[in-house]
Amino acid sequence: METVPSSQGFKSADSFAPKGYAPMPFNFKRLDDGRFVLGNLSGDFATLTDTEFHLFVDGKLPVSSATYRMLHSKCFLTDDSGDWPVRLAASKLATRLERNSELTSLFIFVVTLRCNCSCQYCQVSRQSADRLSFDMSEATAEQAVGLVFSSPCPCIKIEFQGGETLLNFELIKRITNLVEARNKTAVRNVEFVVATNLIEISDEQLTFLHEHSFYVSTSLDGPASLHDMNRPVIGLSSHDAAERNIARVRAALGNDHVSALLTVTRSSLDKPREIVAEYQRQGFHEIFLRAISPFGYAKRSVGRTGYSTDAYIEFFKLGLREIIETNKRGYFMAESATALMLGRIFTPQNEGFVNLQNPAGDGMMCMVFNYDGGVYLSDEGRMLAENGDYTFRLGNVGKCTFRDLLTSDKLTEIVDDTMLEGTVGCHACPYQTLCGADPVYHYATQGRWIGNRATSSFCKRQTAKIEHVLKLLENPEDKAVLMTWLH
Amino acid sequence: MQTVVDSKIHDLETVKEACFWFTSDYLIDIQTSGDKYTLSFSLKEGAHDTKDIAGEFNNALIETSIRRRLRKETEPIRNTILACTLSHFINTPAAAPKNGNGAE
Repeated sequence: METVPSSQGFKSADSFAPKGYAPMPFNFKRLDDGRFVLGNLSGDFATLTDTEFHLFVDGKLPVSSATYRMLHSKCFLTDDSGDWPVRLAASKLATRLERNSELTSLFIFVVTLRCNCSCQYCQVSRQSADRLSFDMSEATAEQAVGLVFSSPCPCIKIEFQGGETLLNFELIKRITNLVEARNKTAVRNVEFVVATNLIEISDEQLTFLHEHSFYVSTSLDGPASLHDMNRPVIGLSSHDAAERNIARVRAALGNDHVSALLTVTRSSLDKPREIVAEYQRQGFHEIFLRAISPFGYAKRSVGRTGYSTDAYIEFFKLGLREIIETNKRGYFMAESATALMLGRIFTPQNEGFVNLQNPAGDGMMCMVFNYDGGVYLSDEGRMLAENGDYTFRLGNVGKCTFRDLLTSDKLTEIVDDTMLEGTVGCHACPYQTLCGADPVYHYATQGRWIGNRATSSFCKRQTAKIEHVLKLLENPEDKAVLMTWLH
Repeated sequence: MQTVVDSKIHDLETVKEACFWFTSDYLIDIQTSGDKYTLSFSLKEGAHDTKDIAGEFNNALIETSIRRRLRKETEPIRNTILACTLSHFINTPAAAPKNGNGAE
């Protein structure tokens, strides 16, 4: 059989090369080391040297270069090989926005403000455990459940918050049963979460939580000395109680049904290693290096517990390093904010974290029913109300329909104001897809929910965290660890 | 500190956009005179002083003008992407909230 020389009958490779390219929309920022980081609508990122960046934006990037291929594959440029980057970018953006279109999925019931703990950084006024006037009534709970099922969202998360929620456990049972009864016809994917300090939990309560597949969210601020100082309880160690009851919850509900939340106070700043070690000692595989919130009642204790944004960023970096090293030593542990970031860098999914949504997820994705029937657009919004500021109150459970709440002038104004594309400073930021607006934080710290990003501690903190993680991803060993955190 | 910008090279909108991030540490006054903008930077109390503010501002001006040019050039593609994205939601079930309290 006659063979055809490879050079015959085929066009040369050069004839397939694109004749030119057009940059697609993207934002960029010059990093401290002189390189440029680029971010676009599809949620992709690229880091270019100064030379590469200027060649690219001037239309002079060689089509045969690896940089060209990388930018093409990440929807930063399009050429005459087809419009697939445009369609791919649209598909990724639509995937990310899908969560927003489902509307509210997280419903928080503040079943009581009563509490048996006197945390230094508490965001809600601590009512003594015997003042029943700070409990949600059954009538309020029933009206709130009605609102829950007016949401079109196929996945509903019911979260019980306090005060100490277990002090009003009868209402938790009542709401749970009501939701499950309604869900026989509504057929939603319902998940229950109870936030508790786990100072006390009875066997009967554990049995109920197990029967209804509850998730338990508790607090763990670190080793006993730190936890007990932050979360004092008269007559006992809150750390010992939490540790003992975390073990009981695990035994009753399963290991993956209990998570712990860390609040970083000034006393935590020099103890990142001890805090991570404590989480490992107690068998946790996730830790959230969460800054203290300057909301509501907590604002009064800032002098004792607060710290600068720079101090927090330094703590975050040290803590993250310790977590990565813990993983390298063979114990899996993820940092929650970093894992969320990685999910958004490497996939087009939107996990629905309310404080990092564009536009703001407050109200759209989350709704809070306070003990007195007030409806708030976020938990932080109701915390402000405990200090007498009702800015983020949308209405009352007995007087509003779900449509009233979602189409209220206040919520639509907030949504309108918090689209990052139209927020000065955010409008040109490459990190839009990793960030959010957080109107309550900006209102609490700057007096306006739209905020001023030039002086925003939220922006400074987010930018520092994102740039630190992007840098870690350039180290193969660190990246190998971080990639295991992708959900 | 004062710096002068040639208005034939950078328009006022570019100058103002470039100023934005410097407002965290400086109070900035912009005066126009003929073909020039004169910018005065006054350090805010307790703010971080940038060593080479004029140099940093010039870099910011160049980057802002690239940003504004790219924004204009890529606008048609941006609109196509957004139109294409929103079309994904046209034929999906309406996510409009139900009327009434508790309707399913």
